[in-house]
Amino acid sequence: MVLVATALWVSFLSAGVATMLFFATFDPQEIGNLATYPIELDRLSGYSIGFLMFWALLSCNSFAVLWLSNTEPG
Amino acid sequence: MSETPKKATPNNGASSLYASSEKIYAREVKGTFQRLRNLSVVALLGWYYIAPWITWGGRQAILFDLPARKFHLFGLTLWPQDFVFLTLLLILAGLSLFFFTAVAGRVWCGFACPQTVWTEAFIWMERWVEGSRAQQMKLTAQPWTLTKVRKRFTKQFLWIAFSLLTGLTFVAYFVPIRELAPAFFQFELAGWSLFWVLFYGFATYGNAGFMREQVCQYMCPYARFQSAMFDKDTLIIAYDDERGEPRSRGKKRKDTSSEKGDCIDCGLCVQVCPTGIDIRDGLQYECIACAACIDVCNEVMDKVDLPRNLIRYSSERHDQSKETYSLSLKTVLLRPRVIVYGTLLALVSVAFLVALASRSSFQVDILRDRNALYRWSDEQLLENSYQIKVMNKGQVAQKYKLSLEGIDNASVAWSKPSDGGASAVVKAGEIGDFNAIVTLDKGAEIGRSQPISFVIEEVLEDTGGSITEESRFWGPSD
Repeated sequence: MVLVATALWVSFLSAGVATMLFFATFDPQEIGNLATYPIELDRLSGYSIGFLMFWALLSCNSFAVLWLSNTEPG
Repeated sequence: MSETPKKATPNNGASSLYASSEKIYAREVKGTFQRLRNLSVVALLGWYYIAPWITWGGRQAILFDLPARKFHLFGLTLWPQDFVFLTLLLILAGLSLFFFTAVAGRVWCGFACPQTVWTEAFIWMERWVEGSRAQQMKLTAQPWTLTKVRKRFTKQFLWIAFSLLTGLTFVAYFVPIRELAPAFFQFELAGWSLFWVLFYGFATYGNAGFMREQVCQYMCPYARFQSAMFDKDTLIIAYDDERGEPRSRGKKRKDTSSEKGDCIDCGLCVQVCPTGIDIRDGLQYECIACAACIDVCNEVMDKVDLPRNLIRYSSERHDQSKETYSLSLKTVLLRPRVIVYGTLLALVSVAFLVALASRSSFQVDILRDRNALYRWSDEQLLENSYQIKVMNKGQVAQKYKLSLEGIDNASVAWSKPSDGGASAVVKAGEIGDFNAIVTLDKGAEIGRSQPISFVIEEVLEDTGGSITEESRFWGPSD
């Protein structure tokens, strides 16, 4: 449980940094307009979904690292 | 020697690092450091909850307007292009933290950290409802009587209300509070705003209500590396074991023949500790330098007519040999580590302020007309067309004047000038999209390509800001 919390917390912090860096350069509204299929993306939604996606991805990364470090093949 | 491959369990070794903890009931303290902390809590929380209500020129003074992609700080409006200021600010925050840690240890933890500040507020509410430490412990032990239900319900209600207020105020730094608050209290708030209010409210409730010292012990990155900023002269909270040992209490103490130190082993230093450690064992990782132990021990020393400062701020070098290494302003401040951090802090602060002060109130981008390299006017004069975008980063509407620099045989004009030859008005926070035409004078030498510089100046207000941007003027190839 502690490992789960650690993975989630560290990826939360990293996701925060990632969000700030990414969205300082790219405008969510523009991203919505240029998307594969045009989507109505207001900025608050864009930032929120972006942050949560970063968090989810970085969490998966952390869980994978923890799992591989704590298990051996066979 | 062959070994059978180990099959590691998922928590191999990690379970020994985590101790499932019981709730710590920290005893209430009165003293200098507690007073300092109370002041800090009131000041910081006061600022946090009041700041969104302050207005500036018709808008909220502190507003990180994410939808509009502008950060407002009173009279200063930062655009995404000003990201360097955010990074400088973060560097400044880091450096000042290192500086204070090198001087006096974990003062951030004990007096300023949001975790400490909000936990204090939650503890005040808890104490107001459930009473003193002894009363709280008794309440936990007793079965669920009506009184217990009432007290616990009241406490939870206060905690949840305060958490929601905290979450709401947090979002208010991003969405104007004068729209947000009414919507929230009328149950009309929806979407992402509501999500983040509840998210941060829940985080506050969890961290300040339950996690408490576990945030410091397990989650906080600063806790892990803070001791790297220490040196032998850093001020730390230390028990004077030369004076205090051997500790004795009760009958053994009354026995005048036995040797006894000043510590009467009352155990109050342990009872007041929010992280539950015994400072008499020496400075430990868990200690957040709240100095509650200092306060309570001084109170006890007063009561038993012994001198104060049995637990006090000292330094490692001083405790090594008190006569040789005395504590003074010199030892605390004039040492390499503090001087280096202090100098860096001063330099970056100056750089930040200078950059901020010399920040232009507008920004210009010049794009050449992509349709044609050059063209001929009706009077057979060589012309180039340019798209000029002017970003008004100031607080007032502006008009801009256009002129050329470094070239004396050409003239420039806006395609659609307003009266006086200046551009149309660009409102504060907006981007003006203009077209300008550079015309080479009659009889001037025509080259394939030559550099030119545009000078764009602010017309309205006495700011007199001007920007020079380079571009090229193209002509026909020979």
